[in-house]
Amino acid sequence: MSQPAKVGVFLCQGGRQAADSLEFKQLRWTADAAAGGLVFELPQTCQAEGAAAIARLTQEHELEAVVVGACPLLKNPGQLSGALRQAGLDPDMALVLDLCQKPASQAAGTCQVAPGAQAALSQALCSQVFRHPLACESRQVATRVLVLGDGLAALLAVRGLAQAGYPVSLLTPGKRLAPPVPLLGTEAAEMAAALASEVEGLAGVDLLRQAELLSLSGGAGDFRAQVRDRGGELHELKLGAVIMAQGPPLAQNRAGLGLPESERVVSLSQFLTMLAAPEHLQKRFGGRPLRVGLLVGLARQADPLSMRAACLAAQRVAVDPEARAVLFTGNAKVAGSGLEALTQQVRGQGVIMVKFSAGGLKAQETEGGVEITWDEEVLGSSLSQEFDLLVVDETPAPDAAYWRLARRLGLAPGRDGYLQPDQVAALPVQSRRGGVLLVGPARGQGEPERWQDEVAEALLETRGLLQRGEVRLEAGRVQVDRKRCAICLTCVRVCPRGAMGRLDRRPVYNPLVCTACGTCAAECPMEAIQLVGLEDERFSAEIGAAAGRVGDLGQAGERSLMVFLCANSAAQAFRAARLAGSEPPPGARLVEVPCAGKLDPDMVLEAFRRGFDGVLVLSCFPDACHSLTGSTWAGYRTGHLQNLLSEAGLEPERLVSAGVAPSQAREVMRLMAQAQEAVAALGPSPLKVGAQVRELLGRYTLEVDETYAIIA
Amino acid sequence: MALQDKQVLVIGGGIAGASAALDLAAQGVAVHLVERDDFIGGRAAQLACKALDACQKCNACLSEPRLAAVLAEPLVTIHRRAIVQGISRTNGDFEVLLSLRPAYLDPQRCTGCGLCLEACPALDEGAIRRPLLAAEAPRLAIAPAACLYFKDRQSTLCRDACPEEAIDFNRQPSQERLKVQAVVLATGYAPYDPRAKERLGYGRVPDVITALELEAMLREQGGLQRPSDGAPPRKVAFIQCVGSREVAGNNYCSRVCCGYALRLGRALKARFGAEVSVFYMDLQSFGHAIDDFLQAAAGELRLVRSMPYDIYAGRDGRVLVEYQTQAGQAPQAEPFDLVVLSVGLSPNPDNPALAGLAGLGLDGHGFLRAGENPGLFLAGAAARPMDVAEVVAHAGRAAQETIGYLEAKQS
Repeated sequence: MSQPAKVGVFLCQGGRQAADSLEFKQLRWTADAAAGGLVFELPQTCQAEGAAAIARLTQEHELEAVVVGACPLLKNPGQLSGALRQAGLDPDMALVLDLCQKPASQAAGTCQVAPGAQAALSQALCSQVFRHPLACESRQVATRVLVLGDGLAALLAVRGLAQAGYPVSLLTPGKRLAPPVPLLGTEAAEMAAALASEVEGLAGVDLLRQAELLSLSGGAGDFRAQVRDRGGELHELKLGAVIMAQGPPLAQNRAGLGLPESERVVSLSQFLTMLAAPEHLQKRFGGRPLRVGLLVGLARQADPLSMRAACLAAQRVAVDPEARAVLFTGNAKVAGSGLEALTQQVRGQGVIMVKFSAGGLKAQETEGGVEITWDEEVLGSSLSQEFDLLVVDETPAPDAAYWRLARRLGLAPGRDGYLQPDQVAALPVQSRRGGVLLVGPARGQGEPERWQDEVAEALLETRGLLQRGEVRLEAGRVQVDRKRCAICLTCVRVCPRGAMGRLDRRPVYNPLVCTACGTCAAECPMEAIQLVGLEDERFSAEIGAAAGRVGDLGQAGERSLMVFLCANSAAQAFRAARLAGSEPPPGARLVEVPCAGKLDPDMVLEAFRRGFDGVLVLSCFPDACHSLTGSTWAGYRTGHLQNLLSEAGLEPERLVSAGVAPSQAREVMRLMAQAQEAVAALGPSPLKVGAQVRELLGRYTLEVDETYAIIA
Repeated sequence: MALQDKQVLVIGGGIAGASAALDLAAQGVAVHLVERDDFIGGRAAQLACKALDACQKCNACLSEPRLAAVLAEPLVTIHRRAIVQGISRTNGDFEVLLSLRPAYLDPQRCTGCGLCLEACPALDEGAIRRPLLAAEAPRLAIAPAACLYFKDRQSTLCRDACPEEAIDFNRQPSQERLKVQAVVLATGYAPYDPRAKERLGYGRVPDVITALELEAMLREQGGLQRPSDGAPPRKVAFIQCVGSREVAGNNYCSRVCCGYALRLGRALKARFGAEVSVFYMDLQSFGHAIDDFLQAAAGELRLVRSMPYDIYAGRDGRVLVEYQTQAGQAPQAEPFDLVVLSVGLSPNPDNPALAGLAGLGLDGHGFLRAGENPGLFLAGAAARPMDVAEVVAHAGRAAQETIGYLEAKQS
């Protein structure tokens, strides 16, 4: 591809003349051999002067990448990045290696070269050679933001965007802004109404009432939306980002409750609307004191929003001392501001709260109303009561139109009916498509007070993405080889953030939302995608360097283990473990990957080919992957590779994978030790002989026959 | 639009403060992050991963990358061991007086070699502290409360062992003045102290611990041991609503306890084969797909709808939990090996003082109330109980409002 980077090596001489040791000299030779003279020994890299010296020498020798061999306790990594930054250099250009072993005893002096230091250094040099500073470019991006929805969350987003100076198109499903949403209560309704009139008068806000989104192509900073307005006219919008604030429609939550089909059974929203016009209620029930049973959170778990609305409704009914309001619930959901106090208060005002956990509820229509029979758990008996009205809470139920809209946004409702994937990395407001943000009722269960937080977070995301129309980006990180690309668009399908798109039928990547996880590169069946600095060549060189001379692997009865660590989780846990003073098992060699999604099957096979006895893949836990789906893809691949291994006559147990969180320092070491034990039980890898043959071939350039003769 | 010239003070170096600081720095605003401890991270950094084979979405890992990022962010200056002593307003700016505890261990000199740890005779008492975050530097700090030098003025083993001469017990407290244009309070919550409920046995029965202590145990040791004898507990009880939903006192739901207790319970069962019972009033909703989660939890854990009223040591070294599931039924005392109290999120006891300092009000529970003083914003659990993901969003709102305030002030 491009020229190898000019790498400099800085070796810390250590506190007490560790530099005189043979191990240190060997380290120096390794560095000299690889870095061609650009090796510098510094006294105490860990001090501020050391960092300054590194920055100065890097500048003087015009180095493109730097490897610093120091100790795990390099005092202040920020110091080095600070010094580099001050010198006008990219702090990411430096790779700080931990080559020092904590002394066994105080008397032994403070610094010693760690046993695996040589392999680690050559491995690091391999990786840094592939480090290329990426050109930065300024790119114009569209700054218009499309907001979908008509409620409080949508209006908050519109106002925030307009205030921050972004042009906004607001696309509402109906004609009205801030249509009544009884569940939200009066305070939210007043706020929404005030916002609606404010938004209508705002400059830079384009209102598209009752319009339909037909398609959304492109990616963040460069979306194209097709919109049909209510007159049937088509508009094409150039958008930078999309904020989805429209929730799924709600349906009565009556599954499995056996409620009769009756006019006496209404939804909570309907009941709240009735209460808003008490004269109708009075007419319907002849002015008699009302008997109302509210069923909240029985068929499915409720949310605090419904609980609050139900409490307030029951409170309104119970104002009449002759009336009866009974709130039946499974779990009283009181996790909202002031909600516990409210439930305590309404119980004091005559609202009866009945809780039961099992499905012991029966309902039947009688002459005078509907009768509810339930198993009273505390008393241990069955009770029944007649009501004029039964009120059932609601649950999100995406209908065909909502599904269609979601699909057009490139999303899909989850099991709970909301659009946000159930993954930690998506929190707070991300969707599966970069540049499409989710707030309020589109995101999940919530209450208006949290919607304000979500909208603010979405505004910050938008600012981060679009700034003021000109964005500085690292250009060309993902490179698609046009000659190899078969336009199968696997990359477009697997990209977890929707960063891979199509332009003139060909895949192109969007640097605005690409996180360089490498899933596309690993999944591309044509090997047509490379990430600059994370090329396949780099990893195969690194694996080769980690293997070192095959004879080195498996010395002293230790079985060799190649460990692939995800940079977002396992590598951080490993660093923490090293700082806490634990050592990896002696036969383990480590290679860090940007995300388990980048783990190409070829890398695993390369490790076996090089003679490793086992391979351990440590990724984020499924659903906790920082690139959403990287660890899932890695899981598929390891499963597939295990099949391949067993077909090739190798024990599939030689390939182990596990999930780790960045905080699990002990766990990561335990997993390595455990994997090594498992591999040790299997004995040496049968591929080792082949690797030895290849190494001999490489070293002596012998003919194959001669090599076999030597081995024989 | 020169946000670049602005400086903002963020009080509190937990996940809320770190998130707000990062969001502000992303817009080019310089931030002074004030942390009273030796290390940043606050309570969120103490939480453990609760994954089974797959993630349980406890959101604990949301804090890790943000805290690491704030340590690496050049626009954020972190003042450790610092408390805000005064805030005064002049010409729309805030003058802030910080008082800093001395760094007996010089962060500029310490290389973290650990020789002082080996020398320290009071290490088990916590005389030398280490941070939970791998990215934190320096790696060590001296805690005067446990350090022997501050008792006898002659124990200087660590100072003598330090090859960098980084330890100096003669350093004095100092003060620093800052001028900022806005202030974000991210001072967090205090875990409820269960000693106030004597009958729950905390402090009297060694094998009654708080959930936060369990989190720390899982995070730091990765194992499960009961405090009394170090044996792995087979039968574990979680008691919900300790310090939450009280009729008098904390009459609010702390929002996070059901979520963490059920996830911890499932993790204890999956990792250590423990039999877990959860005593609860109502299971709250948290996160996505709550029905699926609760169904899975109900299949793995014993969920008992009853609040135990007495917890005490049994004769065989186990803990007896006394409860009643039906009215009129005789109370039963069930033995457990370990009892975990799901303590709620109480207002930070410093809130009244902070409110006085900043000119803010308190809500009925004692949490800080926002919007009472222009230029002052709240982030995270200082305002109300919330989980890590909600804190991140709430801190985003604080940053967003701060930026709006700074921009409006400019024009």
